[in-house]
Amino acid sequence: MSSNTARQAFTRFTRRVPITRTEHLAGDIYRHHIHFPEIAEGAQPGQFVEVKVSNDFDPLLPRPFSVNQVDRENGVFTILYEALGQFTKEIAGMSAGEELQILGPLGRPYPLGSDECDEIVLVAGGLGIASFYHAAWTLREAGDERPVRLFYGARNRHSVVQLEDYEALGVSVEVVTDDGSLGEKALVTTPLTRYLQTQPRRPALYVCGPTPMMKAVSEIAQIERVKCYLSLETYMACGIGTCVGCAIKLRTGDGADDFVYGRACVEGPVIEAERLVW
Amino acid sequence: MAVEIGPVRLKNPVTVASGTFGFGREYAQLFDLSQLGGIFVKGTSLEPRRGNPPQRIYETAAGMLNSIGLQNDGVEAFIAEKLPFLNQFDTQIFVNIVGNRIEEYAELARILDDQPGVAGLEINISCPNVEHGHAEFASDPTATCNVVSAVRRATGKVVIPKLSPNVTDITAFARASEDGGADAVSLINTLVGTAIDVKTRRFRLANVTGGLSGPCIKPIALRMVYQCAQTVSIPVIGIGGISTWTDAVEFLLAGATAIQVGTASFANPLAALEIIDGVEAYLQDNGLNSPSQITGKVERGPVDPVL
Repeated sequence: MSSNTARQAFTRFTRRVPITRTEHLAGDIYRHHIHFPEIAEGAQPGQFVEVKVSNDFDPLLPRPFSVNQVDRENGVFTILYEALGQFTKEIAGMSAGEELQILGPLGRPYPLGSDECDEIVLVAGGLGIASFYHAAWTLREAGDERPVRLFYGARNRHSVVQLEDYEALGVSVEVVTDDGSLGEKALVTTPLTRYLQTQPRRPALYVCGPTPMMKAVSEIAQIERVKCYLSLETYMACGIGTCVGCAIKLRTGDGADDFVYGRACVEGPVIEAERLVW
Repeated sequence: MAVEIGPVRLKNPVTVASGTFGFGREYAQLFDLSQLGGIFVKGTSLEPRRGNPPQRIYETAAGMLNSIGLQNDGVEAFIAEKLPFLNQFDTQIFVNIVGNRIEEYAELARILDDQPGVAGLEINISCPNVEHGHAEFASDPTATCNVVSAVRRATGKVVIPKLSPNVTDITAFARASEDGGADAVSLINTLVGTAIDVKTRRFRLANVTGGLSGPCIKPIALRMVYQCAQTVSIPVIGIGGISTWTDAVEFLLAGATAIQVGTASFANPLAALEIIDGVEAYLQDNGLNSPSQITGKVERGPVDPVL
């Protein structure tokens, strides 16, 4: 019963930390650099942090954001988002020196090991791009030589971000837009399907974007019999698995009743597409 | 800082509320749980429960609605997998028990009576989010008394019914609990509410209604704690929107012996620890050494405005 026996290395961290830089990347898209060495060091690709502005009661709950990029040397990580809701509009106005309350790193990362695939295929819809830079960077940092491709669908050329960063990592990028202002005028499933028809050797898809897009990509993956991982976004409260508010339906068998409610924050945010019941 | 709930001693009056702290494992990755006065674990039933379909939560002004539906792995899994972990910590463990019938509550009490690592049972008769079952225990004082006495007969552990605010007169239920042999009462559970998305014209929650918690319910909870503390002589454990140490002190002054921190842990995982420090400092600053010295010490009279 002694607290000494229970003492363990804490694996999650929370405190108020400063923004070191705010970038306005395009349109309503912003990126904050945040000083939090334990998260810069420990965050795995696909993991997220919970962000809260202050102790105020409005908004009351923190919001989840993917870790976009890490700079271990300076103990900084970034979050990338579009300021559309009340919360993101509020933090978009914050600049270097202002503080955020951060909790992380959280959630199940992308499984990127060589046992998974020979080609890493990132499929982004809009701000679903946010988590992928950290994934591509981590592979290169580890000296992983496998090809990395990015299929990136966006509204228009003004809402496309970080392209040069992916190119610098040697990721082959194909961009499509809803209005054809950059790349082909198409949904991201069009170039993805074309690529899969070339019969690449053992690819795995890592997908993040709006629900209809993720559903469409999952169906393609099922038809083409390729591995497919989805990074899900839900409303969350605690972010660490206690409240069970971010329930997602996970298949446990073939029957209609063979499912359990998992937690997007713990069993996810990254889930095998075939496990998810839509 | 110690307080007593029947024969159980809490090292401080600050505990964490059922349904907001899981079974401790997640928060143990952030801080040492031995600092807490106690942990009220998530609602536990005889058999596993799947819970309600999503959407389950939605934030509202200074609060949140939830409709989790008592998702849990059942009491056997609690004893085998969750209790040993919790018992590594030097804090009191209370199991929130959930059933549809009196016999289920009594059976849960019998099963948990054998567990030395369990300090007490919080009888959940007030979850607003489950379709079948225990609504009558929350809305009829006689039924409350019956379920409390059935649990009382089945266990020597501390018995604490958790009362619903969704009634006309909560004091009747506090009295019924005392009559049934409860060692304490805890209150309040969440208030039933809903929210609608005007764009899609759909309810925000799949279950239509959910339980409202958070800072927005604090004045109601505080009033009910005050009323119940005036009515019964057993300890009252205050719950409802407690987010800061001043909130906690208000509940103690209103008559609470101990408090539970709930939704605040979602907003700030270290909220309970900050409340412990704040209450301790308040007592010291006022030349006091025990929370019980302020329990129920609220008075009437003018208070100067501070603008």
